[in-house]
Amino acid sequence: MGALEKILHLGSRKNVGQQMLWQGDMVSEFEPLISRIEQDAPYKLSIFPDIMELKNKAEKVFGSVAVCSEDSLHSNMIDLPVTCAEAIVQLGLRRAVNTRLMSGWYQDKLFFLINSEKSSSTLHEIVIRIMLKDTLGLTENFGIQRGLTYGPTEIGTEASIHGLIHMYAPDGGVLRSPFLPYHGNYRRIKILKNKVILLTRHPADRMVARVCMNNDSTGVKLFNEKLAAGTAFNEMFELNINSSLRYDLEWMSGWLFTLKHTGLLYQVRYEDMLKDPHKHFNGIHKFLTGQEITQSISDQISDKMSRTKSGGDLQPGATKARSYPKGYSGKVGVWRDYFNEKDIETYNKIVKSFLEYDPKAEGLLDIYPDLKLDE
Amino acid sequence: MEEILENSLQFILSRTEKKSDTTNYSRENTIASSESLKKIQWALDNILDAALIKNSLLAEVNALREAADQHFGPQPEAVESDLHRLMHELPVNMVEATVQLGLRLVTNKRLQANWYKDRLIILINAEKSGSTLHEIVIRDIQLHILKQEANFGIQRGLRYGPTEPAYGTFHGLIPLFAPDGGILRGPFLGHAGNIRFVKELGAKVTFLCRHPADRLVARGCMTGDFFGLTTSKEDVDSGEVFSKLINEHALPQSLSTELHWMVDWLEGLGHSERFHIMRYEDMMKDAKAHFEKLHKFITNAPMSDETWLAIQSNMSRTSGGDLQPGNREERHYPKGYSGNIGVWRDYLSKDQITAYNDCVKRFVDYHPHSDILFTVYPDIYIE
Repeated sequence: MGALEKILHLGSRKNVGQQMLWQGDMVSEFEPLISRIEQDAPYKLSIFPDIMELKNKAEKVFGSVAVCSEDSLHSNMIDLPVTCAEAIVQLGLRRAVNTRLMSGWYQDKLFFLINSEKSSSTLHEIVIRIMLKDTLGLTENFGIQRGLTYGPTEIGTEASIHGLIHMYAPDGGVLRSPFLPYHGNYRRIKILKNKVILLTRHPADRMVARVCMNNDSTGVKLFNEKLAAGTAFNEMFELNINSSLRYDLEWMSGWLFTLKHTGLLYQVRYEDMLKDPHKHFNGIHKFLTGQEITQSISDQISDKMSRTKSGGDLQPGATKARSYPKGYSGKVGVWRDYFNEKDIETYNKIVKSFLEYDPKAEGLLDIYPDLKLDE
Repeated sequence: MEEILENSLQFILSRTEKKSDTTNYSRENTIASSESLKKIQWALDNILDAALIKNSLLAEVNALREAADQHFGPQPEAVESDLHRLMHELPVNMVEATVQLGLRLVTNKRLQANWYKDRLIILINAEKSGSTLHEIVIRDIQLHILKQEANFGIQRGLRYGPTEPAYGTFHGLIPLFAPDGGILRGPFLGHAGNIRFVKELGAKVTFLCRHPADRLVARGCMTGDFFGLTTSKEDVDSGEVFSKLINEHALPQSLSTELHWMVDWLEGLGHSERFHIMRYEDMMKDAKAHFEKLHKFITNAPMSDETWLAIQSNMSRTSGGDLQPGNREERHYPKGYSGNIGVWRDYLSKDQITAYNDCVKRFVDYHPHSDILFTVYPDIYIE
């Protein structure tokens, strides 16, 4: 069980009402402990041991709880319901996080990794955690995790830097997600002054990689049929879904434009990581810590990189169900192997109309001069 | 009943009015008492027992608050600051935590039973389209026809309802803002996550829009400093503000954002029977027919004459009246009231009309589902 799970292993939500067994004056012991955590928070690097103490105390009062069943949670409302023990732990976290926020504690301790899928974001999250631990002395993230399948963004429907986001990393760390570049999110980043790493990949290659990402044999079969019929990528062009080409273009352009001159943004490309990993990760390290990367960290990155490639043990998701009928989708320029003429034509048409529609989108061409595909 | 409502709202809303330093938390106020804890337990049990039986849990939540007050003693108030406007869930005191615990349990139980299906309405709107009036009308219909009490729920320093914590995003705590159902209004964005969220919530959705050219003028006449748009009365006089709204796509109030917003919702939920589209223009043209359709959507029953009279009374109080929201001192109408249909003719220059049409055309050419705009506004291009 990892640190995230240790902090809150949850009870079944089905009989939550029956779990509330108040045991006399023990409850009143929470308040001094919570007050202590709150007051000490700005002066400590980690409140993990204090929160564990609070959790243990809460479980003594309310009873230990079994591991939560995913089925009993709401996929979009993960904060409902809550057990008494959780409520007490969250109360302690809220108060500690608040004092840290008020003192600007998170400015150089909490970082956002904003990414789209299939751009090696898992590797980047792992590497950034190593950098923060080895160079800044920050321990691994811990915080509330209630049956999440995709990290702390789920509460805001995968898009929002919401008001409770610090609860997922009360000691700082890295929060990864495909956050949307809408005004609420960048206003929040500017006020909180958190540094942002924007990880991008060429939209055509990313589309291919995303479509190759099937979760089961049925998906693979369907994908192969569509690929043979020349329709495998139609949905990614047309639908208003999180992974579509339109979404990707708007997402990249929006972040580049809004955070460009804030000093808070560091934009990195998947393609540059493959070309020169040391230069790529050294840039990230300098941005996060102000220092050159150490040999020890470089060695750890080399190890992790080899393990996140196809078939590696650090590949996330249902990797056994992935199918690459025309070669591994992690390759730069893989669209050449998968797109047919019509796909290229449709892709270019959408890119062209987007560049005409959105005047600020020109920034995209600075990063991807080859955004339009050779026909 | 009014007294209970008043007391409860005062408790919930009092967090917005006072300022204090929450870091000085007094532990001396806590007096351990098994009796008071039992009362909290009893109140929590009561709420859960009543969740699916009673229409309103206001009294039960009030009892929980009183029990928590008694046990925990005086508590620090919420803080008002820019930071807390964004992070309004932080901090929380013991009483609030207890009340929220009760609310979380009860909203969960109701969600699982699909309880909000006919009791919660989401009003998605752009500014300057009569949304305050629509919120009032929907509340009245819920109160008088469906016998639902007014909303109550957590309110901690919010100035613009439950959308503020996530800026246009439905977030996991949103049912806590209307645990008994009611109406939640906001300029929610039509992104995939929100659309999925609405489906899980099971609420009915009303979508209120206005012709983008007229709305742009009305928004421009609303001077002040909001979300990156800072404008003065001089900017309205010179027309500069309208150029900004047409050309600066990054502004949340821009023409581009609005076109996107409309298409995303219409494309995402427009086909659903639980989605009701309303146009500001239809209200102005034939208010009775407009609100009859809304009434039918909410109650599944025809609108009575009595209800129509009540709506008319509210309508007369909105245009420049006491129901106008916001700071009216900051509104500026040098070329006439911006609520009129076709008001763009009075405010936009020839160049601005050209720029507007260019922007719409670029969007239409770009977005694969932009055709849907013309089903709602065939006259979206202006001459």
